[in-house]
Formats: sequence, structure tokens, C-alpha cells
Amino acid sequence: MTPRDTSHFSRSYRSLGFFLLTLLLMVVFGFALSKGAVPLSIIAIFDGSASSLETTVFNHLRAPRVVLSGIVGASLAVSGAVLQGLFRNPLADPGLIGVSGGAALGAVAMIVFGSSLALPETITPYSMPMAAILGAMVVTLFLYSFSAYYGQFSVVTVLLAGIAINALSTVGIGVFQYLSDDAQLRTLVFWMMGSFGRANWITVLPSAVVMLVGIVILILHSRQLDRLQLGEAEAFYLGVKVNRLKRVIILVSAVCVGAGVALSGIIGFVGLVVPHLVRLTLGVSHSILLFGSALVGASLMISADLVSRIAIIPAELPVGLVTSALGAPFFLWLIARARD
Amino acid sequence: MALVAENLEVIRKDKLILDGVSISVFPGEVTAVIGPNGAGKSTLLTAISGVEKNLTGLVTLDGVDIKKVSPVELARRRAVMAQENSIVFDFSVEEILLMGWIRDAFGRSPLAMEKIVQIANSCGITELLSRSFLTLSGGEKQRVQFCRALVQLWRPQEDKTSRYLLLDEPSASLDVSYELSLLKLMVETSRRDTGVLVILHDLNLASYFADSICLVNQGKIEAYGKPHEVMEPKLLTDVYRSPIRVERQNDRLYIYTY
Repeated sequence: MTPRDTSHFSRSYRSLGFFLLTLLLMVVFGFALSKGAVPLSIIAIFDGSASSLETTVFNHLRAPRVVLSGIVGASLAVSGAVLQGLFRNPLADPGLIGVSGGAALGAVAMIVFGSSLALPETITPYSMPMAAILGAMVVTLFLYSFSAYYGQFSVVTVLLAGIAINALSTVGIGVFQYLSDDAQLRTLVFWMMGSFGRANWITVLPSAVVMLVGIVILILHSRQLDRLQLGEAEAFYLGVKVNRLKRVIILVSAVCVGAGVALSGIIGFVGLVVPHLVRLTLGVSHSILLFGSALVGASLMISADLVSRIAIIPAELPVGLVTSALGAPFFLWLIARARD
Repeated sequence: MALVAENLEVIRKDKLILDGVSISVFPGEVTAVIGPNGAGKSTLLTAISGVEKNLTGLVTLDGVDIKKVSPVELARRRAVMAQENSIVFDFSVEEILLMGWIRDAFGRSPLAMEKIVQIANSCGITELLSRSFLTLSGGEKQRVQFCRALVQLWRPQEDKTSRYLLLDEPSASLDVSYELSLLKLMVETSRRDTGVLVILHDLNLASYFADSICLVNQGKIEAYGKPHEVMEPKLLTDVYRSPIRVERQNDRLYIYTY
């Protein structure tokens, strides 16, 4: 990364930045609520002058969908930022390094085998998110020990291991597809395309709470993550319980990624693009980075979902397509920039 | 009161790196560790810092086994300046120094900012504060890291608890003038209830600034005592496998390595 002079990042500049980002999120949120296949007037919804169709669309389709996309965006962006901090590697993205793939494999395994596990009915709605979280956790844990042991966290080691893990999850998902029956296959294919289209309050609320709590926990570890950037030994010298910190980051980021993937499929590059933009414009200190990433991630994902909803009405684009279309060129630009 | 290591043994990949080393660091004193490359000096420092896990022997901080001291409490009492850091992200020098401020759980308090500016000023790095750490030269980075260690050990005047400062070649990339001012600052710090353990390569500086010197060779202590006791030409010549002469004038030692 090209270093630059950070002297102009004064406190008032940063406050202004956060004010503008919050404003942006509010504008995007309002805009996304009102646009779509059925245009809605938010004022009409709240003063009661909207038709019952409009109210139903708002309450049961539009609102949960926009809220979910915002929270998943924030959660992926913050997870990307903390994984980059944990690996001390600016290119670690939950999608690129295989964490999302692991989550997907867990979720797919649950779609195919869930019924034969005979789980009690009360936990059935949560079994897929749980499996996804477990998958994400296994991958992060493996990647961390692998790259710590063999590569001192070099950028190349983490990314190459990520390619291998992604390939393995693709194999696993392929095997599960082969093993699944017709009904399972349909669920599986729809799910894998990645969409916020099936959002409803029953699934959104618990996951939203879990992801929000996760984001808050991660933000509370900002100063320790800053110190980890000096190296593990140095962080210990500064009083950080390094192993505990690593466990928290791995567990909580896996929960955030896993819950997001379970609800909306694999959505790539948000965790890469957003923290980079925040670092460039607001600074690298984690308290700023994580909070900024949450705001920008939410705005970006709500916008991407809006594009996916209105680009080809009445059909929909998978939202993962939209974020990858934005993110992949950005990733190439980052590689080119790092080579300078 | 002291930071004491007793009978330290460290084995890495079947190789004995430290072989029964005992050393004590007393508040108010500077102890210099000298010895040839690969003697085990840095390992000795990390072993005393509490970070080394493959360790037999005992390290005590004012009588308490450091394994029983929490990392937070340990960080309040001892700071470490390692040889190099591999920072990836673009932190400003001020942010790096703020990482050393461990007295507040969150963010930058007015006291933190006041003290950081003050300590940076005493280290002569005020003009670096708003710079990006990654753009600094090796010497500048070293001065910032030294300053960070001082920030970590700051406490109000009335607080007289003992502190310990462990430095691994703190002046390796500094020019003669910065080296001198850093070592003077180190001695000043030690006089305020702080025990300093410093690894140095320059034998003249070690004998001038240190209260006691520990000569390490092949994981063992060859000599340990006052500078004039350790700086024996025959011993130094043997350990460094290079001719070394020592002259004494008016109670000062002059060591010639050529």
C-alpha cells in the first residue's frame, strides 16, 4: 500500500466525514424504501393515506428487505475489516479467503441433511444459520493457524490458501447437490444465487439482532485490534490478551459472515471494497475504520440491492452479481496499486 | 524490588538458545546486555518480557512470578521495544504512540494527548507526530518506538511503583547524535524508579551508560558485573574472536575494537 501523509485527518474532518456517511445512509435507506416494482410514498405509509396493497408491500416485503440488506452489508464490511486486521493483510475478504465459502458449505449441508437430523421444531429455522456460522468458523480457524504456521501471514499465503478452500467448498457443494432430491435442489439453487428477496421479519429479526450485537462486540475491540497491528508479541507487551482477542475476532466475525450468508447467499467483495474506501478517506485506526465500514457497508448493500430490484423489473438480478461487478474491478485496481 | 530471571533455559528446534541464565534488573539502574551475534541476547529479553512460552526457569516481577501477572498489569509495569515492527496499515505516528497509552480503556483522553505531545517533545519527534509511520526512515521509526515505550510507562509523579523498560538495540539505526540523546533519555528514565535492560552492540556506549553489564555468549553468561569488571581485554577477545584492547583513563573505559 502506498503510504501517505495523514496529517489532514483532523478530528473535525473525521466528524464531518461521519456526519456525511450517516446522512448518506439515511438518504439511501429512505430512497430504497420508496423505490421498486411498486413505488411507495413513505409519507403516505405513515400518515395512513396509502392503499392496503402499498401498506402490505411496505410492511412485509420492502421494509424487511431493506433492513436486512443494510445489516448484512454492515456485517460483511465490518467482518472484512476485522479479518484484515487479524491477518494484518489488506486483501483479506470473507469471500476471497474462503470464509463465505465455508459458510455456504455449512448451509448447503444443512439444506440437504437437515431433515434427516430430526432436529426439534423450535430450532429448525435457526439450523441453517448455525451450520453456516460453524462452516465460517472452521475456515477462519484453519486459515489462521495455517498462515501463522507456514507463512507469517504473508498476503500470498492467505490468498492462495483461500483459493484452495474456495475450491474445496465448491467440491463439497457439488457433492451435496448431487446427493440432494429435487425439492432440496431447488431450495439450494435459489439460495446460492444470493438475494435479499426472501426476507421476512421472522428470519430477519433474530439474525439482525445477532449481527448487530456482533458488530458492536467487534467495535468494542478496536483498540486491541490497533495494537495487534504492531505484531502479536508487541500487542502482548501492551497488555492485550492476544489469544483471547484472536478467539473473539474469529468467533464473532464467523457469526457475522455465517448469519449473512445463511440469509442471503454469498455476496462478494463488500468486505474488501468498503474497508479500503474507509481507510483511504477517514483513517486506519480501528475505532474509525469499523464504525465507518458499518455505515458505508450498509449504504452500499442497500444500493446494490436496489439496483438488483429495479434494473430489470419485473425480474431481479442476484445482488451478488451487482457487488461483484463493482468489486472485481476494484480488486484489480488494488493489485495494480500495490505493485507500484 | 527487581525484575529477576533465574536459571532461564530456552530450547528452540532442539537447540539450546539460553542455558541457565540468571539476571536481575533493579529500578534506578541500567543493565546492558552485550555479546556476539546469535549469543541469545534477544531471546533473553523476550524470555524476561513474559512472551516466550518454551521456557524453563523463573521470572519474577517484584517477587511475583510473571506467569501469574495478567498481561494488563504486566503492561503497566514493563514496556518492551523490540528490534523491528511489521506494520501494514497506514497509521500516523500519533496513532502509534496512542497505542502505547494503556491507562484509558477507550479512545484518546485529554490527558493522553497532553502526555503524548510532552513525551514526543522530550524524544525530539514532535515534527513527526502527524506523519505516516510507513513513510519514516528506519532511524525515525526507532525513535518513535522508543517514545511509545516511554508513553506506556508514564505515570503521575507521586506514583513510585517500580517500572521496567526492556530495549533491544534501541539505537541500531540512529546517527551518533540521536543515539547519544536516546541513551541519555534512557538513563534519565531509569533514575525515575525504572529498571532498564538494554541490548547494545557498542561496547564503549555500554560501559559508559550502564550501571552493570552482562556479557552473553552461546546462551550462557560469561561475565556479569560493573563495567570495569566485565570489560576485560582477554575475555572480550575470546568471546568476540577478534582482538579487543581496553584502556582506562580517569575512571573511564575506552575500548578499541580494531
